[in-house]
Amino acid sequence: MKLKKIAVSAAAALLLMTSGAGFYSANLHNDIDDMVMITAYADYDDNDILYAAVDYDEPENAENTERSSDSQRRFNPVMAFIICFVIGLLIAFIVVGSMKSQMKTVRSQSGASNYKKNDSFKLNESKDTFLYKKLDKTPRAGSASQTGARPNPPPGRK
Amino acid sequence: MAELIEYKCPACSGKLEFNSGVQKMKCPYCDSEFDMETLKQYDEELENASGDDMNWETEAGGEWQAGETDGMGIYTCQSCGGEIVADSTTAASKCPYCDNPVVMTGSFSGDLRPDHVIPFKLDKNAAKSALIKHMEGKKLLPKVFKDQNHIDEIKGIYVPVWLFDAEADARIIYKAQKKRTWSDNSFNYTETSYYSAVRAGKVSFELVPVDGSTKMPDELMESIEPFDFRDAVDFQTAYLSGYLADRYDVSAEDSIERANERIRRSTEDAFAQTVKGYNTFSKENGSIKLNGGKAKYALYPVWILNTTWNGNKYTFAMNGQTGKFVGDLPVDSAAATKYFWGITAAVTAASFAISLLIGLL
Repeated sequence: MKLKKIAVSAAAALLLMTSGAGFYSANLHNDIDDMVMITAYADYDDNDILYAAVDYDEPENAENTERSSDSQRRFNPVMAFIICFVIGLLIAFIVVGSMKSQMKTVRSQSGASNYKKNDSFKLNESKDTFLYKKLDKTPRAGSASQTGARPNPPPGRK
Repeated sequence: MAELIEYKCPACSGKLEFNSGVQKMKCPYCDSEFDMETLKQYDEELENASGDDMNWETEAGGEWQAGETDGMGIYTCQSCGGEIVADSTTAASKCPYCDNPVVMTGSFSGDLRPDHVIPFKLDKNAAKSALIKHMEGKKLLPKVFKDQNHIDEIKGIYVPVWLFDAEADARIIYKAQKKRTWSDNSFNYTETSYYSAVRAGKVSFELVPVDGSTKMPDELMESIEPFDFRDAVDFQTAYLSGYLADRYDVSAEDSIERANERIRRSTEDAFAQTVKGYNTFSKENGSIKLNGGKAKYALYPVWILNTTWNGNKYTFAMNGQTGKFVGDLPVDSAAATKYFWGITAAVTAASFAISLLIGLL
């Protein structure tokens, strides 16, 4: 029963995420399309490049194109469906897996913790010894070392 | 000539050399540095670590009193060779393990007398109800399986078990790590500190059961644990009346390995819980010694049912004292497939509908 509840909660969480994922990816896809559209208009004239980047009113049919691209920009059904289908598969896999695991109840005991005498555990020796230390450092991308600057010392050290 | 002592690097097992620059032992392979005293101590710890010593006193059970076994018969299964014992008032007709006919082959004698028995607390009706409840709500269970189950053939059987008591004396050495990370403009730093953690102490175990019958699958018997020994009584043949009893065919000596494994696992878990304050740790070395290891012979109550379906054998067992019921059930593949695609379709449709709504807003 516990497994079933976990599976159902996971399924609900994933379901909430899919709607956002479908919408986000659809928008991302359309943002890329928009950029392609703008650079395509730049092919007409060198001067038009600036117009295309700054002003959506140029060229003449830009307004119509803009309206239709707006509606497409908001929702891509194909991409959204694919994502929803993949999430559906995942949730089904989790739920059916949980149902199958309920059918198996025969399991060996790993230890004998049920047979440990109460309050019988006594720790007589507890010793922790420091052996050695290792310091690894990896350069950061675009780091100061590439520009010749000196690296800073670790925190807490003089 | 003085003995030449060589130290191995704890990090990479390379030969350590004394580095005069840092005045420490340094590994030429991995550049790790070690203080001499620490290294000596660590080396001594590893050298002193001994192997496991888990021995038992396995003389268990007693001898039958005169006349105690009168009227008790042995029934032998023609199919699996299993031998079960029943008193004169209980007629055994089918093997509780494989459901095939049994034949009375002789009177019961010569075996060890059990030290203890936990009498049945739950009757056959309770066992039947538990079986029905076990199958309820299982959507992937084939309907035919439920209908064809010969529930009335559920049998009460006393299963022979060896019970082991011991005090485990353990000494375990762990290798532990602490990590610290920081960054500056140029680098990301990771400092890993390595420690040796020694834990030593004692923990006691009592009545660790190991199934003494090859016919009763160990996994099945362990699944219905634990049994509460507070309800155990000294053995009397009268307790067998109305029930079957399995003869032991696994000796106490042969059961020791399983008892050792369970005690070792629990001892290691108990000590591992005392290693705190590290990011990771692992057992490097350790030894467990058993003191006062003793075995007892007892009979534990189990309700058991065997079913064959689609050429596969399914065994169900219920703890005759606590009522815990276990048994693997068959899975209807067609139902599983239907559920899988049904859930996929439903989730896809629901999430797509939500996406559509959000898209149109």
